Amino acid sequence: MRTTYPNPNPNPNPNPNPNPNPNPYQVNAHDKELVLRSHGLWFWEAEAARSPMASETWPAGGALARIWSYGQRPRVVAWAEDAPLATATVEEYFERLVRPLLLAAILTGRVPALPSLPCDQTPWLTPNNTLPADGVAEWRVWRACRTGFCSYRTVAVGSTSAEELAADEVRAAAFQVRHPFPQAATVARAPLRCVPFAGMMRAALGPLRNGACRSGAAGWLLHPPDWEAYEELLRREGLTRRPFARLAVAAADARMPRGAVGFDAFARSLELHAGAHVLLLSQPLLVEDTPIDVERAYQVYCGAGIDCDAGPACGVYEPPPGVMPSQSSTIL
Amino acid sequence: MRLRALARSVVVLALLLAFLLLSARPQLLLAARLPASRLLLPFDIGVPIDCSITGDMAALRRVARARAVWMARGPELILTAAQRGSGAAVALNALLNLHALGYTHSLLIDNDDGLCEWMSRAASRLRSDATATAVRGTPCLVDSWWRSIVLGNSSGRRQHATRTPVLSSSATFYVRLVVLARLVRLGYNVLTLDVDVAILDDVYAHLHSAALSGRFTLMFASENRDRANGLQNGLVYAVGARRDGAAAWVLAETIDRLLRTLDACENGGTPCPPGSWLRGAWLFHWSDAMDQTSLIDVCHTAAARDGRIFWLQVGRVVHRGWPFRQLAADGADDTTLLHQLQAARGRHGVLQVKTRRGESPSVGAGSRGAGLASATGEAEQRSKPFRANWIDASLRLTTAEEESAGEGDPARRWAARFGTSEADERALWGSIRPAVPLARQLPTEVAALLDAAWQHRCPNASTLLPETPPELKATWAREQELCQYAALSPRRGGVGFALAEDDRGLLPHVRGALSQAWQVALDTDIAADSSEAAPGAEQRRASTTVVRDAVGGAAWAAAPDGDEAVVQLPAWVVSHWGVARYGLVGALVPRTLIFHAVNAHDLP
Repeated sequence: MRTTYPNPNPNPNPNPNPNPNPNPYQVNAHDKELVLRSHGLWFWEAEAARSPMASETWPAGGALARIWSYGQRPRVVAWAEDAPLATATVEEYFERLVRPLLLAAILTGRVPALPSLPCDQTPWLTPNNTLPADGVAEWRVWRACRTGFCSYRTVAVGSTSAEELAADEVRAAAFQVRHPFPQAATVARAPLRCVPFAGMMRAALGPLRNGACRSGAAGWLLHPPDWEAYEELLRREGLTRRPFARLAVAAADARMPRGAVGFDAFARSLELHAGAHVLLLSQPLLVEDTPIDVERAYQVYCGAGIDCDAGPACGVYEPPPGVMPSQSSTIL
Repeated sequence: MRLRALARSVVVLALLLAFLLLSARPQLLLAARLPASRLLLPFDIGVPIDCSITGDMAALRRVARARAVWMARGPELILTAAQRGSGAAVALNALLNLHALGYTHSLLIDNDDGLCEWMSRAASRLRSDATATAVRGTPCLVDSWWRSIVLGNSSGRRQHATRTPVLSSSATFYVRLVVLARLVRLGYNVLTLDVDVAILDDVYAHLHSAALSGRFTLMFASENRDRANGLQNGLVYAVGARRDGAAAWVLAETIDRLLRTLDACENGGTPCPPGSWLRGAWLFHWSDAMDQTSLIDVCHTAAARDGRIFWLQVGRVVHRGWPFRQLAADGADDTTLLHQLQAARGRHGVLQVKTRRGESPSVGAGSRGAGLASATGEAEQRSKPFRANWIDASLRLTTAEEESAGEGDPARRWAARFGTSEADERALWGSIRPAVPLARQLPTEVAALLDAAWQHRCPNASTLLPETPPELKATWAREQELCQYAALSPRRGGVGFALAEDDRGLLPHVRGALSQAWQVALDTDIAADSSEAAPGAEQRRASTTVVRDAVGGAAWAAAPDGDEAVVQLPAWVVSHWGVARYGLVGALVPRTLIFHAVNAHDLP
């Protein structure tokens, strides 16, 4: 006969658990979405289920909700498509590409848009390309990496060559592929580029170490596929009155290292294009002599977030006559 | 008279028209069989439907009948689940994906709270009326029973969340498995998908092929193509499964293992003496994906087919669970104990599974039960006790369309479409058996070490002192509390509990109140006839010879009638990011049918 043991404490008080357990399905949830969006496997209407308020939910991406569901057309600072974006290290990427972008966003009240990167000129993003140590089992099965850049750190998307694309078009026609995601074909036909995982940024210095921030929740941020889709939307709607503008920074001071620019020159060049809806940076920059208040704003960019109703970043875009935005411009 | 004749003609014509319509669209038959008063159409995603087994058991049945569509392999449903916070946008993306494919038989499950209402508001912001209508018409299910188990309830009678928020976080994701298990018990084919998937083509053309649905009643995605422990539950497809067969049992037992663990030590469940590791089993962080790990364990158990059970979660506990994780930081003696425990994992079959090369399973509905035994080489397996019956074999898949067309070599056409080679068509499969008797204890060596580790930790539990750093106070307080619950506090001595032999390494093998409620629900569902369960559900029973896995267990088909087969699908059917990044997605012609964005992350 078995003994029944009394319950010594049927209802102990709650206490913090010694096993910290982030919700497993939320770990890197933003990168899961980023993978889908990078491949065009995303219906932008789905942003209707995201909060327009930064920081309300994680990952919120308030800017995406406002663009795709609330009819807002926030002003953006981004990298020009033809900008030389080669970087040798992740530190260089942050210093010369991300930092000037965030500084420009802070100074002009725009939403910064991270660029996709040239895969073959970003070695820190695609280590072990020839023999991925982190995917040996899969490598044995599939034998080849289509893009040549099958790293865990990035999403490589697009066509690697005109020949590959032509062959792909023939196969798509032969097998009558009917893709349910309309944007996927556009992504596949575009030239090869690499989208860094947001998780990569936790290893680097700067405000994007903040997970909620790099997800677009606590400080507004557009990742490469978000910006590509938004840019296409702006062009489709006929952005003519306040066009895209390339930032021409004054010649660097001779005393500065290569590619460096003084803060004052940087700020002055931003003012020249204050009316542009989209400001495009065109040259990697090392912004020097940043005033302490701006530097502080940069460091807390993710902590402070952007007050949408107070700044121009969330300003409602007014389309040219005859071109109506797809949604109501009212902030609900 | 003339009017009467005219009326009669109209009635005859109407009946004829109805017959023709129903013959052409069997899914209409599902709705037509429901009494009008119980028809819930149209659904409103913003109005949650409670499918709790302790409430209206018929609620889920009504939703399923109204929503299912009839396809080549029977009545089909698609399940997906999410939570409001981080999951709403990706869940809406998934619903839009289903809509784009013309699938109208999906059900959404709200994992925690507020998703249904949130999605309703989102639907109102969609631009296209057709899309908004489709999303708004998706039934949104909640399970107040499961929520009360996992999150606690207002009565405060039993609040597991207050005892173990770690457990609650993972257990939340069992809700869809609860619904899935019940729907299979009711006779439906159910495709269960994570929300972070993209379906890239009509999946049924492939899933319903003789090569897949003709062989397997239970399909999973794969983490790793060649590892039996790599079963991935981001996709679970139960098709043609018998309501009392092995696939249904695997799903039901996965839920039941958690319930029995929660029942242990109280609730009428497994008695656990002081010093037994089971006392704290429900406190541990079993795994990051506890639902998936538990499914793996039960699949291994069903595939063993000789009564052995697999409980690999115990191995995870050694890695993850306090106090075992704490042992590693405690010093040489503790580390030795931990190493012994970890080494023991590798020496015992219940904690480790290997696979082997073998023959392809035969095709045809008749082979799903009888006939599989010979292909799995049971005699050989018995001589290798650490192995489950997972066979690495080629599937040579074709689409149902290609099979019926009889064009050339259809397998090669499919292979060309997905760019596969013969090696890519290999997959792990196994023959599974229901109602494996519940195991009472772990193997002796593991049992002794596990109990010893548990007993060892608490006497060394950190003592809260005034100078304890604030950041550690909460953790140490919790530790003290756990030890006190287990009657192992330093004040009580701790070391040297003399456990009786049959109390060592206890597994939760006795059904308490939670588990019993679940088993009763399973029997209630299988008792439902075709007027409430899936149409034709009576034909989906394997046997009238009933077996049970333990006292109080639900009814299952005796072997070999209940035997079925399970497969881990190859990457070109469903592929996670770790594999898909090699080029299965991203080109104009995807090389996988379903892309699962899981495992998308950077390395440190």
